[in-house]
Amino acid sequence: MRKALLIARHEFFVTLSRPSFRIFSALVPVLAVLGLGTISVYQTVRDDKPEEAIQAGVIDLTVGLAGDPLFTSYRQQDNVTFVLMTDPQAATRRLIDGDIDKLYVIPENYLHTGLINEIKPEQAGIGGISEASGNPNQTPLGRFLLNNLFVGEVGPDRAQRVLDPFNIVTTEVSPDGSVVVEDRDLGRLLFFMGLGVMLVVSVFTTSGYLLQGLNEEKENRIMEVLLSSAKPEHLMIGKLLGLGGAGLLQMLVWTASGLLFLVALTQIIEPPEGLDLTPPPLAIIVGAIYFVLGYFFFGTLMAALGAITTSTRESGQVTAVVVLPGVAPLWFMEQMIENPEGPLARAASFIPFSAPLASLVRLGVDGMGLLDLVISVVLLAGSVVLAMWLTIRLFRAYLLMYGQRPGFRQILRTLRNA
Amino acid sequence: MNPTGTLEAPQGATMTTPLTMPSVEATDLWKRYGDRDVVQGVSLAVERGQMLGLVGPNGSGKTTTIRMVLDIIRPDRGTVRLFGGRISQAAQAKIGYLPEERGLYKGQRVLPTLVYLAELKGLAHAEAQTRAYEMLERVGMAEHANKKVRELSRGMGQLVQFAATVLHRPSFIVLDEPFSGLDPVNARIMKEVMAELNQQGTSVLFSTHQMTDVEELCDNVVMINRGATVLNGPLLDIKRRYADNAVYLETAAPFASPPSAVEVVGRGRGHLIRLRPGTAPEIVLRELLDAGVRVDRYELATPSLEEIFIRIVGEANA
Repeated sequence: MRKALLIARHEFFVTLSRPSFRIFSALVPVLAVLGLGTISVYQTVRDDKPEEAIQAGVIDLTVGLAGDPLFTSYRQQDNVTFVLMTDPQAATRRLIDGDIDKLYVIPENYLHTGLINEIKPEQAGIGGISEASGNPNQTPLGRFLLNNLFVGEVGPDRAQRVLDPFNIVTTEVSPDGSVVVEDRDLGRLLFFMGLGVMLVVSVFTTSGYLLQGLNEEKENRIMEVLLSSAKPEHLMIGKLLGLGGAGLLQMLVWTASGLLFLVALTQIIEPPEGLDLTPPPLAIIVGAIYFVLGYFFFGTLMAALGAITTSTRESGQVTAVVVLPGVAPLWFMEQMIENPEGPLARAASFIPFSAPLASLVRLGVDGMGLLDLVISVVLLAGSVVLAMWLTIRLFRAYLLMYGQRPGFRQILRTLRNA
Repeated sequence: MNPTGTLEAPQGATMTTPLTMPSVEATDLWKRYGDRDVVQGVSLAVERGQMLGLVGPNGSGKTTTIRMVLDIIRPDRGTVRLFGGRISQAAQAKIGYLPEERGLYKGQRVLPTLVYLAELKGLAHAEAQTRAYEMLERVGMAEHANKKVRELSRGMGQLVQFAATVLHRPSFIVLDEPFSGLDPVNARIMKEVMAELNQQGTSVLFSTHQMTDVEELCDNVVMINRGATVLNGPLLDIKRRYADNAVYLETAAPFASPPSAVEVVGRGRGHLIRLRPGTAPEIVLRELLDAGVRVDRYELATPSLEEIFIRIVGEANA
């Protein structure tokens, strides 16, 4: 084991010294810092710039029950002041002179037609009074009109409900009549999915380094020296541990940067209501388990590819055999989120290739029971042991084979006879 | 290195390897690749402090034999015993190996590479660092300690790899074509270090197809051809066995052919005298002395190892 640890230490520091590893590892923190900087600058600029005060003239021609115009109250809505006017010509003059930004003429028959005449200078560029983005009732003009319409008619609560009539909460009932609890915690889903994507990227990056390193050692012809000092299993385990450590470090850097980014972000902007960005402890534990097992599984398979291929170029061509099944859950993400307990999602979390990503997605929508989690982890761990057992045999047979790649039958024969 | 500038005794040379115990004993090794037996029943033994030459033409199975001896590949049949026991990590640590296909981490610096390889052989980090530097000094590469391997010439790289092979003071070193590609100066450095180690009790298994190197360095020879052993024994015995019943004479003055001679072939002071069958060399010497010839040098004329090699391999491949 001492030799495996020596090899691990060597591989760890060699990987850390690779410029590509350093750049890739620094990518997330740098992006986080850049993102925060950009948001921060935007917020500062926005905060420093006081919301432009808008003067909107209103000529109210309506007549209420008491013989008075309807729209005389609630004249300050956010940054818009509704100025009551009576003389259309004078109002138009003030609009042209820039004393007011817009002019609304509410005709006598407004209650019947709902029509309002808006008069504004050419290319006034004024927004936010009546533009119907989302709920028009929530615009300054909408609130001004509605509040005046309801004054004296209904209480403030009812007026508020008219302005914002409903916040819907849906409850699904299953065929057996029980209530299906929908617990789509967006923060949790984002966290698990982010973890899954980072895990896959990190696992494939580091196991790719393992493959590259093995090929370099074959091409450099140093492999034979190493094999005269250490057994193939020491070599493989040492490489897996060393590069796994580097990958774990990369994951820690990325996760820490992500968390710091979120913490800093919540200091700059208010998170959407109901979005809890605190990482669930389960995510950390399960993420670590899947990272370690996933890395050892894919890393071992990459090592096997490194043993049977003869050059970095050739190995690069065959890694798709391992990478594609690993990222396959990304293609079925929507189906898995919609139906995390369905056969597709369950199968994907049991198949060792797709288990790390699929399981994290299912956990993100709280759609993976403890039993499924245990089965998934046990199957993945078993596959790691099997893959290592087979790869050690390939190491012994093919690490010193330069220049010719063994055929599929030959590999099978090697594994059978080992 | 000790204060006199020579290498210190190898690890385990005095305590774990009894004098009578061979450093390596390989018996009846077989290896098959595809449908071809590349090694067919090769046996060899390297006694402690012995330098054994493993010779044979290219593709004869030398490297495969060495890899089996070192447990890098497993033989299909046959046994290997290192230092009297089975191949173990402890035994591996006492071996130094310079493979034919040489290479180092091109992007790494010389000194850390040597330290890493020595640590794999069981040396502590600090000791590995000290010895690595000493060894680089010994082979004249100290000034390149902090260079990257890719910055070295091929010959320099070979010296560095040779340093890596011996810096942990192995009891048994295996050198596969060690001098190929080396200039005479660097080859001389390597031979000197080999000789020093050998004098201190290190056993050497030395594979080559350069027969002159074997004649210069080795006591015993194993010759293999097409995977099978064709010669095995002390170099002098082999040369005697293949001697052509002739003697070599050096004399300043011309002389008459002695009665027991069939033929005298001369050039300058040296003469090759072929003897009648059954004639002992001392009879001819007596005849020459009786005839008043002043003999400056007289020895059994033996063929060079290269001649024996060509004869055997040529016959076998004919």
